[in-house]
Amino acid sequence: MSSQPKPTPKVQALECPNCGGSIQLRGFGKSLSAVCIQCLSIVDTQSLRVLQQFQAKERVIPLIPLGKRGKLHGDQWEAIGFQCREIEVDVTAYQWREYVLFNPYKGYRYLTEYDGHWNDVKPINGLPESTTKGGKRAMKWLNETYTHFQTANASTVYVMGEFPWQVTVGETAQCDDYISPPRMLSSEKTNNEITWSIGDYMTGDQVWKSFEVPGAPPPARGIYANQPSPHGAKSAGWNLFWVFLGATVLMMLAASILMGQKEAFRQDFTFAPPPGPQAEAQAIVTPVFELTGRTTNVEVEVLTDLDNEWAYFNMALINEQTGQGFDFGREVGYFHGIEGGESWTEGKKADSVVIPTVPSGRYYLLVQPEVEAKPGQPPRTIRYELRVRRDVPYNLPFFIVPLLLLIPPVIKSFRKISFETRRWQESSYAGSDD
Amino acid sequence: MSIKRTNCPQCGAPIEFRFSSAVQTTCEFCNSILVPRDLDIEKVGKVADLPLDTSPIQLRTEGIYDGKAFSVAGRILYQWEQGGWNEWHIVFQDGVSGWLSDAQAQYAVTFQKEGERIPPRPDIEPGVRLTFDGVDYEVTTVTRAGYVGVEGELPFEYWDKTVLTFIDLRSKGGRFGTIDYSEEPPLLFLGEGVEFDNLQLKNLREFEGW
Amino acid sequence: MLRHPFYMLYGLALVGLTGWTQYRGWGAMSVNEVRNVPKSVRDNPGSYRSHYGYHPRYFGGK
Repeated sequence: MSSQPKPTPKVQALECPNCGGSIQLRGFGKSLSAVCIQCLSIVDTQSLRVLQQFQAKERVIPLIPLGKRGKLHGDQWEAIGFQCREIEVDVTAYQWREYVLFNPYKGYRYLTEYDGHWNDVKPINGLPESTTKGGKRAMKWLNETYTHFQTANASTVYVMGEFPWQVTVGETAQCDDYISPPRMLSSEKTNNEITWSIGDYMTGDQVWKSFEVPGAPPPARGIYANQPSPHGAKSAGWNLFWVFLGATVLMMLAASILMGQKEAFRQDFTFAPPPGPQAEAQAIVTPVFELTGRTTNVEVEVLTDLDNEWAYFNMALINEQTGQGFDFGREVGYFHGIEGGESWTEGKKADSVVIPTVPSGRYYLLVQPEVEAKPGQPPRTIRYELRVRRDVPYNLPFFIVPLLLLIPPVIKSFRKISFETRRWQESSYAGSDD
Repeated sequence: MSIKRTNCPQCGAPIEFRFSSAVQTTCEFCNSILVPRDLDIEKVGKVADLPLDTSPIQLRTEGIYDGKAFSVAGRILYQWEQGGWNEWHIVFQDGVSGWLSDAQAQYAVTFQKEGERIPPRPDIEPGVRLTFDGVDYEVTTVTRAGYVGVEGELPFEYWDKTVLTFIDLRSKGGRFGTIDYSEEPPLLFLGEGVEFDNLQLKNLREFEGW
Repeated sequence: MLRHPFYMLYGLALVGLTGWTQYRGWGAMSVNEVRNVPKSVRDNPGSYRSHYGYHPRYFGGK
């Protein structure tokens, strides 16, 4: 209709006022400063004055070349600036790199890289609210709480390309980082203002894929502040553990209520140990008794009247009709006395065993007792009672299963805690170093 | 909406008033600032050629804010230490005028609020708390800016300024406001920061290589 | 709870196994099963040779 079309903004080149070298401008007039890589002068793009000329032992080559474009959040972004910044902790300097990304419609973003860990950073408009989380200093922004991780003074040590502010080498800012993995809320405070930004953790592989950089990204070392935990944000499963433990207890109760536990046989016997040390063990058989119901277990209990003796019962439960037998043995020993005015006891007079999966049928017990008295004592006739019960709860699983149930949540909790401990070692809150 | 057509009193070029709320416009051929008065149009001043700026927004860009469609009618261009910034005059379909502020790729939509008591300039500094229209704000920045020029249709008479002072206001709930102290009484604008994507802008500027 | 599918299966398997052990009547593992015990053992119990592994050493005999 009426408007004369405005000329389409083009990529320009600036002549360096210091050395005449060519400075590429990709920011369409929005950049406020640009670096002449030939003479390391920082030029104010509005007034064309030299803001600063800095020294560098060597030219640093950014991993993402300036002018390269990558796709983030569905938009294209071009790397137009690069800087190296460092903080000093104790006497060690930690250096990291930042890339200025530009899109003429969407503005600016930043990509930071430290030890192979990357962050996609966007400046935010607005003031987060100061709060606490778990007793620690924190900030709240858009319904998310970020815990304070580190405060440090950062200084710029090397620059290249263009910047939307008047950058200078040596400029410092107080940086506060707050984390809510995988995000990080950061503030930078200079004399004049505070700016806030939100970073999203990215792996080197993701950045390399976005920007189609050839080769491999630098390997990630250690754990970074807002690096998401590979052990997941979800719990270690303790709730489920309690549920299963409860189920096991209920099953134990149900077993003791529902299982028959019927007495199938009970009888008293006596055993007179034969004279002589190497005499043959004598065996007896009980009358036949009935074991009913489904195939299940049988408990055989031996109760004795031992008095300072050991006894060993070699036994077999034998099916009268099928000839199937179950061999087992039980050992008991009971001792007592008085020593120094105090009476003591040791051992037990009774023992039992649970025989598994015994089919129903007519059975008898075969028993071969042996008795050994303390040296110097004559062997005496002992009395013992045999009790047989059908279908009893077997308790061992109820002790083993909870321990087995514990294994996965314990391992998971250990891994999570171990990861978070290593994460926080990099923070301002780590204890004394090494 | 009816388009009012006339001719520039200075150079005769065709002039359009696309928006009924327009109180002033510019002639893009001779850069005269024109104000319609009763029966005819008066030339009240001239604006220098606006520098080639690089906002992605231009006149006739369209967008949507708060569910309502708007069109960009005009702008005021300022210059400050961090570069240029535009206040785009946007007009909604129902005729309401608003402002789309565009600075360092940060955007906000505000509307002029009249009738509020605005403290005098010397009383203002960062940290001062003010309340407008029931919302609490804190003064975050005091900016001295230079007026560069105007373009297109504006809802009030505004030209030939030199140095102005702007106050930025922010509230905890994400509301945003500005006070323009170049006028007497000062102008108050209240609104909020917006994301570029949420405005669903169409008919944007084109950039080489993008 | 479905956030931990493997643990869920693991736990259900363990609890289920516990129930199964009670139903089938599990017991001590040290019991040794034998077959074809002759009926003559009832008349002559001394002839029975036990296949139970453990025999305390301080008792005489086999």
